[in-house]
Amino acid sequence: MPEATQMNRAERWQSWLVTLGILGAMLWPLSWPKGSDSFPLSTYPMFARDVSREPPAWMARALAYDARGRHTTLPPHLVANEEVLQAHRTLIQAIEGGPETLQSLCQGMLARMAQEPKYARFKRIEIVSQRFDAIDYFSGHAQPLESRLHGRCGGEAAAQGARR
Amino acid sequence: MKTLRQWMGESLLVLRPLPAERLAAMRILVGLFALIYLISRHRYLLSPATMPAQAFEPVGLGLWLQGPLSAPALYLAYAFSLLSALAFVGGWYFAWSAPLFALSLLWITTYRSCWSMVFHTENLMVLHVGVLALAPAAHAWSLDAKRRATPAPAHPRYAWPLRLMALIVVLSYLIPGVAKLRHSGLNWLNPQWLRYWVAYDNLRKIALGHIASPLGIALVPHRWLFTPLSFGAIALELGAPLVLLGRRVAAFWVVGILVFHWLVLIFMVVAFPYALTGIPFAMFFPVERWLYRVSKWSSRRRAPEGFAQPRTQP
Repeated sequence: MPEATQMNRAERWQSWLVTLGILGAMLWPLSWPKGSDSFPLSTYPMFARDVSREPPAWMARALAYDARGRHTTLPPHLVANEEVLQAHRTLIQAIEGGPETLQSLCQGMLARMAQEPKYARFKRIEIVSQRFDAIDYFSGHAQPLESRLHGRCGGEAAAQGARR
Repeated sequence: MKTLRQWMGESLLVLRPLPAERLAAMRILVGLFALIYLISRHRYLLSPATMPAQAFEPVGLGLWLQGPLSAPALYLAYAFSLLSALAFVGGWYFAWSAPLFALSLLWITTYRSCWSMVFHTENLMVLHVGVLALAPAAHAWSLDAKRRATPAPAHPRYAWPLRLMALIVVLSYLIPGVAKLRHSGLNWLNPQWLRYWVAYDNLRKIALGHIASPLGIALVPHRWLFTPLSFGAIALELGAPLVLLGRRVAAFWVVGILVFHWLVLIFMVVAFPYALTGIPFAMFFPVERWLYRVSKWSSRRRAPEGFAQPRTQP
């Protein structure tokens, strides 16, 4: 018997249904409002933003201080998890959530920091927002253009809180 | 015209009989990648179990949830995705195990994206697994195939899933290009766009205590360097549909897109693991022959059972 070289009707239907269904689903996000995003369907809007026209960017950061006032930036895994953007978003949500949410996150970071010998000398954490010009930053102007303190915990901060 | 016809003859747009082994090779490669990805990224995939509830921002399938999953439910879903991945790769009761794997992979990756950040690095992998799960991808080189009386002959039923996977690749690169035009018009063609992104992304990493790219940082002051890089990136995104013209054009584009992804990794420390391996582009080529040679080499010139030599090699 010769081998079939054509798909039967059921196979043709299956192939077209799956093909049109998936391709249609992939094109669907193009009809969404600008900036909308989802998974696994997306227009990848994060790369579509025209950052070259945006004002210098605000960045939420968690800074750890030692007794001499020297500081380091807390890495993402001490803020939330290993993902940079998730850690950044966690900081922003805590800032937007108000003092209680901010303190809760700050205390959590302090506890995680205490478990890492590398950060043993750091006793205090400040959550700040700082504004940078990305291009200028790498052209020798590494200082933030502006800085705002949202909250702090640990060390002197705790002592100050007790005195108040 | 003859050359064009020759090229189109190799195009995945034209449905022609293809060996079952080519689709099976894609099942094995994509499935193995997904399995290794699930294992190697377990810390990240399971990290939502310890995330604060206020960080839960559901997307996609996650919108059906009333709130975050409990930790045991997340671990169970993860374990199920691993087991079903094994069945998918081995082609074991594929008609059932493959859709279950596709759904569990979609679920576990979607849930990870429900926590303040959508991970676009996983889109293509999830979509490719979805296509393979709905295709006859276990008619060769699988535990199911061992139960068949005769080997599956070459047939167009093994071509349409590969065509769809190719179209998904095309759209995955074309849609971001269209979105950029919609968002920012022709300003997207400004080479400084890319320079700002490299600077902005590296600055964000530094500001958050993460590793940044020394090479990307060193490039930022050199404006002129971003003109060729920017036009190269634009050409690759908008030129993606050309891969459908045939294997030779596809080969040029695939090399270009691999270079693009490796440069993104080097300059921005942003990894698209699936694309970096080249697996999503393998269906443009006779990948079953390569896999057969690898299996033959690894078993010291003897093909393992179930890895029979591909019969037709169009």
